[in-house]
Amino acid sequence: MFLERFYENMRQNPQKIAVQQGEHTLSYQQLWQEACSLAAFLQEEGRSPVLVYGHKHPRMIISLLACLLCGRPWVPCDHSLPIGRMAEIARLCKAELLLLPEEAPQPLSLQKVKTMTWEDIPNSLTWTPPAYHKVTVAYIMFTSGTTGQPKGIPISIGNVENFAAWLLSHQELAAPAQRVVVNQANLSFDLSVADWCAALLSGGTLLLTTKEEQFQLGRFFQQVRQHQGALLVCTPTFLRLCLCDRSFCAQSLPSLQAVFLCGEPLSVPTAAQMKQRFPSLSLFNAYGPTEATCAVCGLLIQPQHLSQQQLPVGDLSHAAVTITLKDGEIYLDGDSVFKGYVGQPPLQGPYPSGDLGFIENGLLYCSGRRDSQIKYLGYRIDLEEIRQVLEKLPGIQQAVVTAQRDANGTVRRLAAYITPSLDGEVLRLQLREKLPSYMVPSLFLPMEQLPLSSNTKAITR
Amino acid sequence: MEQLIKDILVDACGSEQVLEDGVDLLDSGLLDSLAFINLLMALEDEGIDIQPTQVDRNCFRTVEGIIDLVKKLQ
Repeated sequence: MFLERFYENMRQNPQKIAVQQGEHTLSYQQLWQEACSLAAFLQEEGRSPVLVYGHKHPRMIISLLACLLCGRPWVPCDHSLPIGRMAEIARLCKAELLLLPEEAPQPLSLQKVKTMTWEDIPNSLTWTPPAYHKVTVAYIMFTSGTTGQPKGIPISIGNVENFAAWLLSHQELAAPAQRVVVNQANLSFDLSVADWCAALLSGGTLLLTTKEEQFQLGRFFQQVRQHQGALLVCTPTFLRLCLCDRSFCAQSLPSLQAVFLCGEPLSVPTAAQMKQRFPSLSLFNAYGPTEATCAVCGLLIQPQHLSQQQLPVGDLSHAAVTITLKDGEIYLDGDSVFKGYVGQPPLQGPYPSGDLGFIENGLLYCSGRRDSQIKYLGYRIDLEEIRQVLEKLPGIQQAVVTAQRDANGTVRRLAAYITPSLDGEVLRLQLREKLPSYMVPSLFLPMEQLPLSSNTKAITR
Repeated sequence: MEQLIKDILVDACGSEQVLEDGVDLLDSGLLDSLAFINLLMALEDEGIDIQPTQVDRNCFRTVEGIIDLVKKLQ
């Protein structure tokens, strides 16, 4: 259904822009042709997952579509990932091919992995449609894991299709998706699945925005204005950042009709401010782990929700999967749910999300985690992984990593308590070779300063 | 004024490290998105209004850069 629908959109409107990033554009027809050409090569080349190391170049989307066309898993790796982590990812998913769709910020060579730039790819081959199964892996995304290694989550074509059907069943999202969908998240972060699915399956344009554009907010707003962004897909933290500027309002961005939020909790004040700035905008708050394909439920925030203590994260009468609570933990079962982690035995029964929640009037609310996983700036981080990586650094005997929170419970920063006490700057540089920057603690303190608690779980949360 | 801004910055980033010589607040990750939001909101509480689209984010690399920016805006 994904490829069929994309193909149908291409047939109906071949010249329509499918992907836009700055001045780079790709029409539906160009995207299809280039993806078929790349798929033909990938089909001949091998069977392993395909690592793609890039940022927001439209070729990232060509590589995604090409992987779907030839049935090889797409493994997007954003430029922000350190080489050490890329090597781990390649090893874990047994990738044998690395594509460089744009100039890499650092030279890259991985053991047992063939590296190819875009120019190296022959384009004379012809693609032959392979036999598809719903269980064919579409992509593998890696998140922080408790074992000191990233955790690979394979998502099948069937998972993506089920998620996309649910997403676009909401008219308030489907209508603006036919126009321009604004992407914020890195493509190696599964929130981005919502933006490319929404745009490419609705026949709309996917507007990819770079880290540099988001860093200078004026440039980001200019992109949204110039290309008439209608549906913004972003994290609540990014929305808060936009709201710091008064020009983020309906008068200045009249094309913006809906915002899809997922990845971390949306607070009542942020939602209220958003309603004030954009009175007629549809604000959609969603929830879901990467293991269940981006989001499993969500709802439009209504004025009556703003008087509550916390916002609901989904309407259970219209979810993408079956959601149940067991001892307060959210369990997920259904066609969006993955079949098991890379290199681990298959999942048996419903997936225990680790998220705690409760249900009121048919709406789901999240109330925390039952382990050491946290959300920081929209990223999912397992504090245990950082601790294990720290303890492998030379000189460190013992480490504890904690998340410091503000009065609202939002994670403000990561702090590492270490023994013996070493220079934080040196440790930071060493960690940056192994972990994404958002996982590198901003504070390094001697273990003696660790807040005492009888329950070690409480202090690592 | 300078002391006030330093205090606000330490509070927003949660670390005295921001006052150390030669620290790049952006590259070090000390002034990440959340800290940046907190900084702007705390400055606003003091009557200092900074609109992200009106300033170059690179002004926020150093404490001195932020102090200069605030002085210019007043």
